[in-house]
Amino acid sequence: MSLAYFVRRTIFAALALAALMTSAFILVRLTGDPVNLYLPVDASDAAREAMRVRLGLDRSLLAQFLDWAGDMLRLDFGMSLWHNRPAMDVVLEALPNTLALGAIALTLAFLAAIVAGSIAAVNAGGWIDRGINVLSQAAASVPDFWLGLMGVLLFAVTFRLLPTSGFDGPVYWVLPIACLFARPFGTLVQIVRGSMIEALNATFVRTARAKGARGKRVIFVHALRNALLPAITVTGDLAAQFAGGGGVVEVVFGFPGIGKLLIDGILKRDFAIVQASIFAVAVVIFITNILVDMLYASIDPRVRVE
Amino acid sequence: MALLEIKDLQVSFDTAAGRILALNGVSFSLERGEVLALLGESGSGKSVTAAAIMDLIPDPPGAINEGTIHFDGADILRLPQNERRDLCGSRIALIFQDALAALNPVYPVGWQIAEMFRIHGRTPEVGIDKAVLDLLTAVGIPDPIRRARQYPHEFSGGMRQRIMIAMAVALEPDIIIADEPTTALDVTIQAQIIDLLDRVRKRSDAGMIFITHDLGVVAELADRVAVMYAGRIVETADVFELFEDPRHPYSNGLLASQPRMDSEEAELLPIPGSAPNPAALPSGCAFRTRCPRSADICAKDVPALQSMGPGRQVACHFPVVSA
Ligand SMILES: Nc1ncnc2c1ncn2[C@@H]1O[C@H](COP(=O)(O)OP(=O)(O)OP(=O)(O)O)[C@@H](O)[C@H]1O
Ligand code: SF4
Ligand SMILES: [Mg+2]
Repeated sequence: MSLAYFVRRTIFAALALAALMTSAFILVRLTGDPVNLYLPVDASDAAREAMRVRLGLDRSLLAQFLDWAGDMLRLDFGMSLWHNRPAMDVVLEALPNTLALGAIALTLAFLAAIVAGSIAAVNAGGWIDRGINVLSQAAASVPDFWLGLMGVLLFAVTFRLLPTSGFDGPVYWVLPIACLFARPFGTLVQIVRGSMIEALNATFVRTARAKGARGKRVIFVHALRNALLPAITVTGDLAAQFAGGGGVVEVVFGFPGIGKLLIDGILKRDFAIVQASIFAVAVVIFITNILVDMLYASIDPRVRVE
Repeated sequence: MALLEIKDLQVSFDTAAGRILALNGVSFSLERGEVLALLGESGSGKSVTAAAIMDLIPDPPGAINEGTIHFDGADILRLPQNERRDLCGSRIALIFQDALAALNPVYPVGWQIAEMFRIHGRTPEVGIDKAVLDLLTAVGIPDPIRRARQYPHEFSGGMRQRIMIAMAVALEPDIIIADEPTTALDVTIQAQIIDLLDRVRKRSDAGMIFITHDLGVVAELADRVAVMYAGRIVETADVFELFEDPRHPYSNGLLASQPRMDSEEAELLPIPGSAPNPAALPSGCAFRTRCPRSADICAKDVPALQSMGPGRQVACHFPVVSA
C-alpha cells in the first residue's frame, strides 16, 4: 500500500464527503423549518421573521448554500441551536462514547465468533455445530431494539441488576454492549464457520497434515489465518455501520453517543449538529476502512501488491 | 520385507450415490531407493492410495476398511496417531499436483520449508535458516535469500513446484510420493521438474512412488510400474518388461498402441469403453466390461494378483502371453 494509494483514497473520500454533505444540506432544509420548533406556537410573525434573519434562512437557497459551503471548507459547522455551543464541540463529546461502545462490542463479537465459528467448523455436522448454528442464527436475526427492550425488562426491571438507562459509570455500558454484540456475533460466526470449513478442506491444509503437523497447528496456524480474511472484511463493514452510532440502541438506553445526537439533531432541526455529526461519522468511516485494509493486507500477502 | 508393503487395502467413501469402493484390494511393494510408477486412468484410485499412506483419507466420508500398510516393518495403520504423524513429512513425503493450492497462501515459502524442521523438532547442523536457503539453492531457485521471504503467489508454477520439492526432501525422507507433480505445468517446464525430482531423490537415495498418466516419464524415471484399474492393482512389472510384454489385457490395451515407449509425449491412450461406476462395480473382474478376452469365469471370480515370473504380478484369468 503505497503513498499514491492513500492519496487516491483520500481524494475519493473527500469527493464522496462533499457529495454527502451537500445532500445533507438539502435534506435537512427540506424536512422542516426550525423556527416553528424553537419558537412557541403563538409567537408573532415578527419574532419568526427575526429568527429567520438571524439564522440566515430568509435568503435564497443558493445564497445559503454558498455561505454554507464556505463554512464547510473552513470546517466551521456553526452553532448548535439547541445546545447553544459550537456543534463540533458537542459532536466531539459524543463521538468517543460511540467509538468506545462500537469498538468494545465489535471486538468482543469478533473474538467470540472466531472461537465459536472454529469450534463449529471443526465439529461440522455434529451436535455442537448445530447448537452453535441455532444460537448464531438467532443472534444474527434478532432486532437491536427488541433485544434492548428485553434486556431492560429482564435485567433492569425484573432483576434490578442493571440500570435502565443513563450514563454514569461502567454498568451503564453493559446492556448497550450486549445489544450491539449480538448481530455482529451471529453474522461473524456464520462467516468464520464457512471459511474455516473451506480452509480445513483446502489442499494447503492437506499439505500441512502431510508434513506431519498436529491437529492444533493445522487448525490455528494453517487454517485459521486463511479463514480470518472474510471475517475481517465483514467486520470492517460492520465497523462502518457502528461508526454511525448504535442508533436505536443508543436511544433506547439514553446512551450519549453520536447516534442519539444525530437522531435528536434531526428531530430538533438542529442543522449544525446534524451536519457536524455526519461529517464526523464520515471521517471515522474513512479511517476505519483504511485500518481494515491495512489489517487485511498484513494478514493476506496477496493484496499487498497493487 | 520391502521398505513399504501394502496388502489388500480397501478404502470406501460414503457418498450421496451410495458407498464407493475407491480401493478394492490394493497390494504392491516398494523397495528402498526404488522408483515405482503408479499408472491408471482417472478415478482408478491412485490419489486415494497416496492419501491412505499419508493418513489423509477424510473420515467421514472415507474409511480404510481392510488391509495393511507396512512401512519399515511396522503396520502404520495400527500405529498410535502421534507415531503415524511423525512419519509423515520426515520419512514419507508427499508432493501434490497443484503447488499453488498446496502451499499456504499467507506464509512466506521459506517459512513453510522451515516448518518441516520445526514440526519434527529437528535442527540441522547449519541451523534452520541456512538449511532452508541450501534447499532452495538445491532445487534451483535463484536469489534464495530474497525468495525465501516471498509468498507462493509471487512465484511461477514451475518455481512453486520446486519449492514443494524442497519441502518434501527437507528431512531426507525414505519415500517421496509424487502425485502427478507436473500435470499443472507447461510442457517445457515438466521435463526440468522431473529431472530435478530424480536428482534430489537420488541424493538421499529415497524411494519414490510416482503417480502419472505420462508413459514417457514412466519410461524415463521408473524402475517398476504398478497398473491400477478400478481400485485394484492389475499388474506390476519391471518397466521394460511391462512396455515390451504387457500381460494384463488392460495394460496391453494401454501400451499396445504406443508407437515407442520413450517417445516424448506418450500420454495414456484411451482404450475403448469407459471406466465402471465405482458405486456399482461389475461382479468378478472389474475390467470385464471392456475386456476383449473376457469369459464366463471373469464375471464370477475376482482374479487374484498372482506372480508370473520374477517381479511380475498379474490379476487376470487369461493373461496375454506374447508370441
Ligand atoms: N473425498 C472423497 N469423497 C468421495 N469419493 C472420493 C473422494 N476421494 C476420492 N473419491 C473417489 O475415489 C475414486 C478414486 O479417486 P482418485 O482420486 O484416487 O483417482 P485418481 O486415480 O487419482 O484419478 P486422477 O488421475 O483423476 O487423479 C474416485 O471414484 C473418486 O470419486
Ligand atoms: S480376468 Fe477376464 S475380464 Fe478380467 S482382464 Fe482377465 S480376461 Fe479380462
Ligand atoms: Mg489423482
